Amino acid sequence: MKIGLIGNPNVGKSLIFHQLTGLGVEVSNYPGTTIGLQSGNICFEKEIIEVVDLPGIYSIEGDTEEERTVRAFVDSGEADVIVAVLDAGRLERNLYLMLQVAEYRRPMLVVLNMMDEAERSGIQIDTRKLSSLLGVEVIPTVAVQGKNTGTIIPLALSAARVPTVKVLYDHHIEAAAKSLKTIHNLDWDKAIMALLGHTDNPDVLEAVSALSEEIERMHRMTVAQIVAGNRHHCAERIASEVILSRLPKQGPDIDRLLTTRIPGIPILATILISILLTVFIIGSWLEEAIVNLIENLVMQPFLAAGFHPLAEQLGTSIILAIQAGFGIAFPFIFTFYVFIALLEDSGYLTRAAFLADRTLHSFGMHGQGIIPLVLGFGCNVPAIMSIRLLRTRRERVIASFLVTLIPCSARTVIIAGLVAAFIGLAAAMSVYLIVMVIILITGMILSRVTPGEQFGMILEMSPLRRPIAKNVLLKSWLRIREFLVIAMPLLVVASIVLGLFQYSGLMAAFEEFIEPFSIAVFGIPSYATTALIFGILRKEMALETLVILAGTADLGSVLSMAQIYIFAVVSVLFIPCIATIAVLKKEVGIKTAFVVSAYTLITGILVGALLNMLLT
Amino acid sequence: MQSSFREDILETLYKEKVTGAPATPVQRLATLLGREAKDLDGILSKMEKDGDLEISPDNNIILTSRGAETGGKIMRKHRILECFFSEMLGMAPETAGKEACTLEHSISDETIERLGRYIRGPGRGGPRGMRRGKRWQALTLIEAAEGEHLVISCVRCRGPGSRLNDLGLFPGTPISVVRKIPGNGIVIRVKESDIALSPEIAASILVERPG
Repeated sequence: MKIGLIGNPNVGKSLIFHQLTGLGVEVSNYPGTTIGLQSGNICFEKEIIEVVDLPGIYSIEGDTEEERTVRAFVDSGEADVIVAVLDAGRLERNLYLMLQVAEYRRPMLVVLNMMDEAERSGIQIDTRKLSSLLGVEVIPTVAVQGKNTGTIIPLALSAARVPTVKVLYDHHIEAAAKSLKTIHNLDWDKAIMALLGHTDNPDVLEAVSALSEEIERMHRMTVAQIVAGNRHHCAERIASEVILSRLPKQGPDIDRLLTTRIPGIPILATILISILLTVFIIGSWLEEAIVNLIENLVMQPFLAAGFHPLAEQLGTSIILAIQAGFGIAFPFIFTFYVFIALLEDSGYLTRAAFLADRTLHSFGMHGQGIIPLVLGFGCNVPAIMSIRLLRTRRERVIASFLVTLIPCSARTVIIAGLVAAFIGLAAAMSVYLIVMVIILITGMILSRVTPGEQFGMILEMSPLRRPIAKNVLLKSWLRIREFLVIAMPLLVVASIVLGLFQYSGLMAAFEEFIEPFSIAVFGIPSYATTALIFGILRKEMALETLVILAGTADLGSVLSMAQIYIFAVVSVLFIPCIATIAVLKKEVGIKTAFVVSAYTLITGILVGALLNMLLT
Repeated sequence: MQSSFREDILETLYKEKVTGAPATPVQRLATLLGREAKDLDGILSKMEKDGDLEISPDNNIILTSRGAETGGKIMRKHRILECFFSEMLGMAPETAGKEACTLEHSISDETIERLGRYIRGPGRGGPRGMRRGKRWQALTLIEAAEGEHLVISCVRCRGPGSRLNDLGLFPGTPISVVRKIPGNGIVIRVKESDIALSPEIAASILVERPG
């Protein structure tokens, strides 16, 4: 038994999913796509039921990856029941998707969520009438309070029906679909889909192009527009029949504060900066605690046990990897995720995107681009994963360049632990400044040279809502888990490679080799350049390696201030860490991943060399 | 020729202005028009004398309100003609755009007004609305003011146009302007939800003020 949850973005679909399935959630890629589908199992009356949370979409017929994934899922018929989650306050718009899905003639159930919010804005809905018009059960729920969500599974098992509602299409469309149905033996939904150009059969495609040309000539509109118009009309008619009362919206307009230039932009800047500061303070405090804990409870006893040197080296490497993973991932990234989830759930993130739209235009991106850029300050890996949200390849390529340049929390550790500690706060800030200037220049150049067309932003502003602690933590937990799954194995492998390098003496040979280059270009000793190179494995490892290779934690005694500064700037700029390169390859392809890495490498070397000339 | 070139300049500057650029460098204007910057010197200084624009010492052009009015009018004419050619006559978008570029300079205000009304609903309206003395006014969404209630008359947008359809932005759909930051896009309310649009998207949506 399999149930699929479908709905617009921001309708509380994921919340319902988590209430149904609890914590045991699996993320799996649907065949042929990169979109992760979350699924979880529940046991109900001795039967195992798999629930799949489909990505939020506005239409099932579009061309984005999400839309194609959902379409393939619904079309394959692998779900026994499809549960459409609708926002009661935006019934008309939500019904549009429901009507599209209804054409696939699968057993369905409608969940009318956010009944409380609708009621507060004076909307009352006759659910019984809605149910009879659609021909499926309608369950009114308030998912944030857990109200009525318990009845979804029992009703999905006992009362799911194929909807009887039918969109009345324009008679030309109907006629065309009927002829496709008889000549090519297609189902009704397949015939409509074929008319919209979604078919692989060349014969059908040929027939469709002739038919749609005729229709477009008569209507002066594309088939897609006519079909969408008919569906909207049907949704409008149903909504007007079931909505009993609608009071004008009242209450203070908080949005006015958030989405105007003043005070909107100062508020945005304050929020972002205070998040970064808070994450840094909480993060470094937790990091120290966790690192000490592992040091005392695991590392010391392990070293005291006295294994064979090779085994000891391997063991130390693994423990170091785990220590770094939890020391960085948990304190910094998790705290950061909590704040991001807060911004998302409160609806503020869409307002930030609206405000940032203009500025991001100069970098060839749009408002939505603020999400990966902000995420990048936490960790580049999830930031790169989030560039899928951007619609065009052009935007994704630009974003992948900029995100990899953004100082993530690991690089913040270098800046704080090295520059702030040994030189001073102002110098640390200047490192950020250098990076920001490079990001600005890169963005402006990329917006000119990246191929592809630039479209504008079309973004639904999610309503302002009070975030719920449990959901925020759950969201953050799922994300950090995703991060650990990707990054942890890479950390362990990288750490072992480094360990073996040291053990076999290759490190010393490498240092000898790099020495002339290191001194000539960066003006830093060869062991520092070696440390820089190990930063590829994990950014903050550059600092750790430097301490190990220098033989002292008091770096001020072995390196000059200029050397420390150059080391920090270069390690922040040059080459993303290996985990970032891995996700880059996954999201934008191997070629772009290579170009991005090469670009950062060259930028890092150039800036380092320039600083060396200026400072010494 | 001279006057249509002047109108092209004003239209281009107006488009720059509504999408957020407070001033346009002469070089950029030349690129947008596909000309050499030095070719523009003569006409620009003449236009400055006529009070259409101002040129700052560092070679940035700023539209005066007079110039912006003309530019806005030409842009509207362009959009309506383009919409008519592609939506009603079924011409390819590029051809429609090119044709609109030529005709926008010679078409009269009254013709464009009637054409706009025809696009909104062929066969109805025209004379009746005029008799009642209500002026039909077509404008692009970017020109609408905050708080206005409008009806969409034409969506002329490539690429993400289907997303607009899915969100319910159709000819005939009533919308209201929730928020507008000059040069920084617009938030509209459609079917109970708020949608943020970039200026260039808003500029491709033709709306009317219901009379």
